[in-house]
Amino acid sequence: MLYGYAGTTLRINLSNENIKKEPLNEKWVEEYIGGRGFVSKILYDELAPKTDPFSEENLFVIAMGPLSGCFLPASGKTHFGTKSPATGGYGDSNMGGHFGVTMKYAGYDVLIINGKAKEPSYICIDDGKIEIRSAEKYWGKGSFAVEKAMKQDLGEEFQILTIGPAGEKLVKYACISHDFGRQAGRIGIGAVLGSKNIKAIAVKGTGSIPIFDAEGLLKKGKETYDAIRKKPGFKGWTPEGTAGITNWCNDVGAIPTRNFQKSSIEYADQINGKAILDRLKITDKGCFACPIPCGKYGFAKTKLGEAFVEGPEYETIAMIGSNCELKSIEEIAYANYVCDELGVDTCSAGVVISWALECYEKGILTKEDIGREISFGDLDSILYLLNEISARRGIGDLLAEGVRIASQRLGQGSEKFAIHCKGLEWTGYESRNAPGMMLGYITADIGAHHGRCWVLGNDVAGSAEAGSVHDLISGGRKTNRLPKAKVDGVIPVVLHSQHTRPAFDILGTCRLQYMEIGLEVDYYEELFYCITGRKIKWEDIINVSEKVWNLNRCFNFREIDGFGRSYDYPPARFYEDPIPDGPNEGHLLKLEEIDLLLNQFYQARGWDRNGMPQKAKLIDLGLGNVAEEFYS
Amino acid sequence: MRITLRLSGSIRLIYKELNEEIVLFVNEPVSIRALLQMAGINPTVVPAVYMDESKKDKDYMVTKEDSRITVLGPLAGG
Repeated sequence: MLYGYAGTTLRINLSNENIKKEPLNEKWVEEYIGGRGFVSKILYDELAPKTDPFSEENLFVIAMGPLSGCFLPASGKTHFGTKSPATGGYGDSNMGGHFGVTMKYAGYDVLIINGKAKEPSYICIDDGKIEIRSAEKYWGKGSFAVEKAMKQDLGEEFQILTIGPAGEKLVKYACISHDFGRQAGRIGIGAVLGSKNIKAIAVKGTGSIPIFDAEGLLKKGKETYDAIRKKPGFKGWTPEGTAGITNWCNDVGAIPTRNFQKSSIEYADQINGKAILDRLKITDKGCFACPIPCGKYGFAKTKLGEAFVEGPEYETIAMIGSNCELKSIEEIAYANYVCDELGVDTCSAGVVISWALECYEKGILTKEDIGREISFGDLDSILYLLNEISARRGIGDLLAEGVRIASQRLGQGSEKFAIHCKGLEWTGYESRNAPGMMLGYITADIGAHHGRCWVLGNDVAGSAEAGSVHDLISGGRKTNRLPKAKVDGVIPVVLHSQHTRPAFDILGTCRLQYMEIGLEVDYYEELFYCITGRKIKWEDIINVSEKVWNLNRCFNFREIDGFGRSYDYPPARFYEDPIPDGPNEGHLLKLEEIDLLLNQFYQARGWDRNGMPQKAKLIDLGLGNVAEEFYS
Repeated sequence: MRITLRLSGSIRLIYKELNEEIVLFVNEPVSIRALLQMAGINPTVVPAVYMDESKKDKDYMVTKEDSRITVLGPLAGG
């Protein structure tokens, strides 16, 4: 008996409509635990090398962790994986909400989809009954509209994943939506579902999960909730959610502005968490079993439209807001709604659109290219581009490819300010004076994503060591400039973050209880034992994290021609153009500093100078079979 | 005057050597900013502080005996 797991992998081949249930692979459980660990293992082992991301052969994977759905705090994370159409390499994304937990209650830890449906379809999982049904009536419609319609058609008890029109049109940063405002946003996961002619997946689950020590879990789960409630930070996190960090990011010169041309704004108070509370919010909204509901559900009204919308989160405030220079929280929230309805990732869309706006300002793109005039700060321009992208119409067809390919095709020097790494667009943190954050972005397996490593606070602490802005002012010196951040010593900090964050993705819980609230890892060890009957130390989970990092790195070496060190650099803007104003005025990381960081990072990871995991490292991590493939 | 700083998980991820609660003794009213510096925390790293159930500015002067101040760290999200 596999306690803590539903016990079944569901495989669906859309081409021949073959549906197969098989026992969950115990070797996966033993070696990779769950969630992101399963995704990594399945993609490496089962995906044929060099598979085209939009071909029938590509896999679309959903995987849950053993702690998911087991009535411990924030245990509702769902993990998705595929070969990314954005990067051509390993791709995963995750979301909160209630889908994965319900899939587990229906009896499945893992869902693996391949092939392609003959016509627009959706997958309906009603406990043990699986059907591929026509989605003709939903095709072409927005994510919210489809989720609402499917709930009406199937019943409120079904949890729904949908793609929007952008996913149908294979926009390379199309997302998956769920729960009227939760997204698995990154790496183009929604486009892969679209390429398989799948508009939605609906699931109803009424079963249960076998628990090794149910009484112990009840006791420990309650203890965990109580511990969280008593922690410093418990009350501070909920009121504004992630948007509460907006002013701080601005104060430390880290808020992307005008396609990362600048890193500070004058209108932070108009677009921050307090603005959401004062002008948008109706209610808090949380994911499964979460004691700190960070979602803010509200209503936004602008001159171009109005909508009920969850968010915006900080990343959307930064990427659709300041990076495109929208200066009101209502406009950002409405653009957020449009992104969600069309089914595009707000982070990538913000980078692509701000790049197009800069190209237009520089005369690289013209009015004829675009189809009209556009400008930073203009909601109408941004909504126009979002609609063109989602329909792959006119300039939208180029922009739908993502900023790397769009800039390569357009040329004229626009590659320098195409803000991405490995083909995945950057997210909400200016990193030219944040060496740890920069290293985290450029070495992440899926490309530039904050969810893989977030150490901006450590960078600022290092930067501030010589004296913070306020200290300098209080000391009588008139300066608003932060000193240059410390480069030395960031490697262990980055590795710690890179290994800790996936640990929660592997277990199937939200990391914020640990990262923000400060819940001790001992709770996870004890809960894991109550649920699975297996004794595990936190170090063991961290070791699985490291194994996953290395396996994904090897996946990228296998799949991407010429992959290696050259893929680990930021865009030239970040090492050629110092930040022009704000607290970090004049700062950047020079190319030789980035090289130094990479050398130290590779050495610490046991990788060679090209960033390839060395044979001994792979063997140490239990990846001897992978070592054989690369070193025989 | 006895004052307790309560550090969130995110601030302790940066200052790993610090305990969850730090007790400080001062002889006169003092700003939260100064208290953070006394504890070895650079105020620039701190996005928000709470006292008596409400958000306070870092220049807020603490005057009450046995005040408890919650110090939040920065975090990513969305």
